[in-house]
Amino acid sequence: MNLHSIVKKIDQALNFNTVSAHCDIPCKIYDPITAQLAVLTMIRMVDLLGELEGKQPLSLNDQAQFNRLVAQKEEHGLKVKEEIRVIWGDYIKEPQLAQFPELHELTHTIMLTSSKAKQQIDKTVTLDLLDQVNRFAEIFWETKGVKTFKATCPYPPAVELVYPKL
Amino acid sequence: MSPTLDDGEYGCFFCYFFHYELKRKQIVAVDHPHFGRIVKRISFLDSQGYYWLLGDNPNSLSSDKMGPISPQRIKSILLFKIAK
Repeated sequence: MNLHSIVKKIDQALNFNTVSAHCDIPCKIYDPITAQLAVLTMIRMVDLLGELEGKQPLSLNDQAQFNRLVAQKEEHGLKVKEEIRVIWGDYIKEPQLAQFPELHELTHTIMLTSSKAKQQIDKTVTLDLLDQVNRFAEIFWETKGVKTFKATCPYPPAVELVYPKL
Repeated sequence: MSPTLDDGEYGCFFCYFFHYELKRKQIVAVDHPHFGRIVKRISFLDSQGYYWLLGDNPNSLSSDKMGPISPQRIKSILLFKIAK
């Protein structure tokens, strides 16, 4: 019997005070929908930027709109990365990795594609990103034993999203 | 506080100390107004007399989130831990 076991026995009898040494508050609230919605925003921004491309020359208002759209695309690209990184870093552990060995590579791919989607105004890249984030969502729900289904979101950009069947 | 302290480990804390004895980098048990009884490391003492805390893990609550801690809220100092 080691020292820890002995102290544990004394603890059971005397009930020592406990202190929390946790990191972030372990709220256990994780949901990939935030990342999925951020990708939808990026796709929508690319669509709206495409509409501006048809308008030449750009008025002052159009130029202001252009700046806002690019800024939002940039911001939501960062959001995709942040949301996926938190689920990957805090929720994904050994059991989930054993079940889905592709998780590390998929997460890394999402990071790279998000950067590419931020750098360019290219709808194909944002749609690739959505495929990857949808796959991540599928895996996430499967690790929780929740079935998923695909449906077209009922608002622009009207693309296919993975939803949990709760 | 991972990797310094892991879940389920025991620590021996010293309660009878003067606050001027507290030093940077000491691990202390704190009665936090929002987070309850927590264990963190002292980062620094500011010019207003408040302590700022840090966790050892990169994902720890930030000093900003924990906020300034009055000396009275620091209840004890970790002397040693008993690992599993």
